[in-house]
Amino acid sequence: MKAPKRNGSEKPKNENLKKSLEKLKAKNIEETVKRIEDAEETVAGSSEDSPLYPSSEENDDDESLSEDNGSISESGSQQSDLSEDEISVHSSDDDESSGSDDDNPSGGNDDHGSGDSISEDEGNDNGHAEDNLGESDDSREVVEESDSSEDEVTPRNTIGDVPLEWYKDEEHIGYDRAGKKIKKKERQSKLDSFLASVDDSKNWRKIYDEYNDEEVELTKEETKLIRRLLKGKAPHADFDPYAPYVDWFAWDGAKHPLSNAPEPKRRFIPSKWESKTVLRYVRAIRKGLIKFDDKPKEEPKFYALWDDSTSAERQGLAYIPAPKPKLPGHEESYNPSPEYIPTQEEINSYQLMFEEDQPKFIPKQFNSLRSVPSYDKAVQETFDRCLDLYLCPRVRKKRINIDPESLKPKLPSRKDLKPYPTTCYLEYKGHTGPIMSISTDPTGQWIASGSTDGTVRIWEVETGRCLRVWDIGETIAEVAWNPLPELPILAVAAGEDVFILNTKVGSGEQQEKIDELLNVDNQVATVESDTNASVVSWGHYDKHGGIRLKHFKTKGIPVSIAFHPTRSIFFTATKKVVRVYDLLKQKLIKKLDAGVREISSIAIHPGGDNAIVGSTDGKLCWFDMDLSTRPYKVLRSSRNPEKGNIISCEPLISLCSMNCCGSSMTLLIQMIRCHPKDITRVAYHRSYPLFASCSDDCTSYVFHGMVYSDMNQNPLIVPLEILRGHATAGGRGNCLCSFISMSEWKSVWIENFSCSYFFP
Amino acid sequence: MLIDKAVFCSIVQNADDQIVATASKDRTLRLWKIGAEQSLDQPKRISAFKILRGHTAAVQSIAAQPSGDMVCSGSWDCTISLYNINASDSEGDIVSVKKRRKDGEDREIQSEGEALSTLVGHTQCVSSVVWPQHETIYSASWDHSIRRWDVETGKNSLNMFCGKVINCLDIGGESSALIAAGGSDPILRIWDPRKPGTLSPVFQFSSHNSWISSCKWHKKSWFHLVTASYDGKVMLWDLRTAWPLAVIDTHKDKVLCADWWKDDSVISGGADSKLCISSGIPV
Repeated sequence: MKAPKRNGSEKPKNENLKKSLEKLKAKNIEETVKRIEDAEETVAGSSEDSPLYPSSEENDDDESLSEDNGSISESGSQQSDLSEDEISVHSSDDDESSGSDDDNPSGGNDDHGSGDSISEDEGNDNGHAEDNLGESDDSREVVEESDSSEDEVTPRNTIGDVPLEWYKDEEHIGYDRAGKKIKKKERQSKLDSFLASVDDSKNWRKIYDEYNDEEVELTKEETKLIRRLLKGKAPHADFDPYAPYVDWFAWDGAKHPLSNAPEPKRRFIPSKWESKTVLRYVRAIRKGLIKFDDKPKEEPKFYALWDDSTSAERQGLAYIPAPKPKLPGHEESYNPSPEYIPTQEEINSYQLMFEEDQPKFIPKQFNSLRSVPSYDKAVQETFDRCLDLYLCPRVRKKRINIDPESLKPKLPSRKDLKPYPTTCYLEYKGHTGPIMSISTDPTGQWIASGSTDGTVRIWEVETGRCLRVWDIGETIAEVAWNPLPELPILAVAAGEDVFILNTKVGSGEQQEKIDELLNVDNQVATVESDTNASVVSWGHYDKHGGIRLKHFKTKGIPVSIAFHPTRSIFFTATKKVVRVYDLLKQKLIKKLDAGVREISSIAIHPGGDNAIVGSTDGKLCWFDMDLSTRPYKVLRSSRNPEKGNIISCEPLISLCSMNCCGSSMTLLIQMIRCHPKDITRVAYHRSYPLFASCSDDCTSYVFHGMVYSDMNQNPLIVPLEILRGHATAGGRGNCLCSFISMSEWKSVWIENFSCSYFFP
Repeated sequence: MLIDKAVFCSIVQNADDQIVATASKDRTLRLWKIGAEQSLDQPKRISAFKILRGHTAAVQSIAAQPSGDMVCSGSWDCTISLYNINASDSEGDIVSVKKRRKDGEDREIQSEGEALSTLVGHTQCVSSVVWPQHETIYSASWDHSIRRWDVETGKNSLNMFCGKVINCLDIGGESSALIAAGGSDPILRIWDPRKPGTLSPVFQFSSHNSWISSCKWHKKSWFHLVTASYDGKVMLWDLRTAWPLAVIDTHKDKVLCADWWKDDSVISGGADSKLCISSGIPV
């Protein structure tokens, strides 16, 4: 009746105790066993009346229990209240005690639980004990493994695994965690302890823990465990020592396995040696020591000896095949059909033919092949062939096979480049001699024209009315409008003189201003003193009003004139120098020395600071007014200095104004060959990308010319239209062209005394 | 010295006198008075009684308000200026300079006038102006556009891009809304500005060989037009036929201007210094 009670009270402590016990077990196992035996003896001896241990059928039970556990339960079931554990402990103890009665006391005194010594001691006794100790040894290891677990009750003492004899004579058994000495408990005298054990029925469960110097009371489970161990069984009842065997070896392929051993580990880890070898190969490939030559070496094959195809792979001199002879026909047979054989008349007629037309071979008939004579020209032809081979050039000319059309630049459609002048709508009639020069008003209302008949005319653009005629009396070389709209004055180069005329197309105030400007007193006329002689004199032009610049020397004949685009400065280009005049002060400002053979034209940049002078020998002199009177740069535009008469610099200037940069100048000079005869004049449009050229062949070409700001892109020049409409007079059609700035109109003047107007 | 080029008449019935306004290349407009009752037997020397200034370039075209109070002028300076001509009351205010020209016995007083307002918008020479209604001015320019202006506000209410330089312009036809214009090509084009969303002409007549210098609608008929061209021909058109009704080939040179006269006659002037009147035209 007591056992269940105790059992219930000790249940929470059960786990902890069990573990601490296991640890102790190994050490105190013998003592424990002994004490259990002692307790049994006492129980058996003293209390016969104890309900726990019925004295009857004790021996029977012993035998049955030693054999099988199951039989214990069977037998135990017959007992009324006993728990199985107590019975088993009891019975097993009996069994054990019979064998090891003598030895145990001695072993218990000497040893303090080293498994080995126990096994030594008990090994002699019986196999049971040996197994038992082996089990206990295992269990001890398990305990050590589970040291780290938290629920383990750490021992009070901290001295570690040292012989306790060292503390035998001390007053303390060791040290606690704080480092304080743990005092030894007062030992009860043997008699007292014996008496206490006799009194206490539970005393047999109590074990003295020498290490910690305390008494530990075994729980039910612990005693059960111990008894199982003593019997040489697995400590836990739920462990099945006879579990069915699982054969992990794969028997499928192996009929006769050499070894049942599992696969060694080395078969699953990468081999070091292999990786070293691979590394060596990789390094060798990287260094180029190992090459992968997939293609098998080509054996020299047979080649077609009579192959016509020219193979480039041939070594040595290039093989040039002999000309292939025509295959022989029927007439070349030794016995041709009679229709092939020419008659004697035909043969005679061959003699009359030219040698080239004569047939090379005249068919003849032979009776047999034997009678065919040897080829009479064999030696000759062989020799010719040898000569051919000897003399023929051994260099093969490679011809690039490119469609010439694809090399042409792609031009935009003419429709996209509209507007440009196409049709002649207006003619300005009135001149009686070839017109040498035209110039348009900056506003676009008027055109001035100069002719060899000695007249300068001003035309109204819109209607073609001749507004004004000046009879200068000398051949007009050039006319030029002032680009300033406020001062509509006209410069005329005629003969040896330059005239500046008042066109009188301005308003009243402008007229007064111009009159004032052009009012030069003859007496005051400044005589420009050159280094050696006076060349130019200013004077009033009595006949038509205006200024007359008289040149005295023949070398000072003006060839071209131009106005400064913004200021009242006026340029006169003679054959040698360019003179720059100030119109207000009426005196020479500067003399630009081009250093070319003969100046042919001049053009001023719209900014006014730069001028370009063209010469008859194909040079362009670029002047910077601010820098010096010498050319800033001399450009050669023509390869042939005899033919490179630069007739106008105007387009250059216009394109320069699109991108004012020195390097672009070279881009602009593009050779355009279109006219069969000499070009006489070029003109450009101020707002549209158009320019036109006129030639002696009485035609005028209109081009679309675009210069891109991107220097890498070539300027785009598209020929748009050929303007005709002028008849040649005297075999030489002098043709002039000029764009009118305000609109896209263009006028072309020609020798037959009319000027035509072309409109889009 | 004046260079009178364009003499567009706007005859204004003003009490006894008729006033003629002329546009000139010297950047001025001049007003001339012609006594209606005076005999026209011998030529009489008259001089302009008023000079209207304001343009900074040659005046190319002129048109008068239907009521005759104002004129407008188109110029090479790309603007259209409006002038008040019937301003006897305001004359004292506007007159800035009084000129007395002593020319023998004749003593004329010239007054000067300034532009009332300026319509800016064209980018090139305004080649033609028409003032068909009281509040509306049509103008054509060399910048390829035909514009309609509101006189009161000075705003540009219509801007038609034609793709060609326009030389002459007239308004008429059906409910006086069609625009006829000739430019730097031999094609007479007629637009209907009421037609939404399109700028293509409703009629095109291309029998001329050269520029059309002048085109005029008939005053009464909706369908009739007269055009003058630089090819020396004056043509009469009916909108209902593609070919000219009549070709008047009397001029030897360019015909510069043409107009209807008395409903059944056409008067034209040419560069050969001839003024031709062709009459008996069935309309």
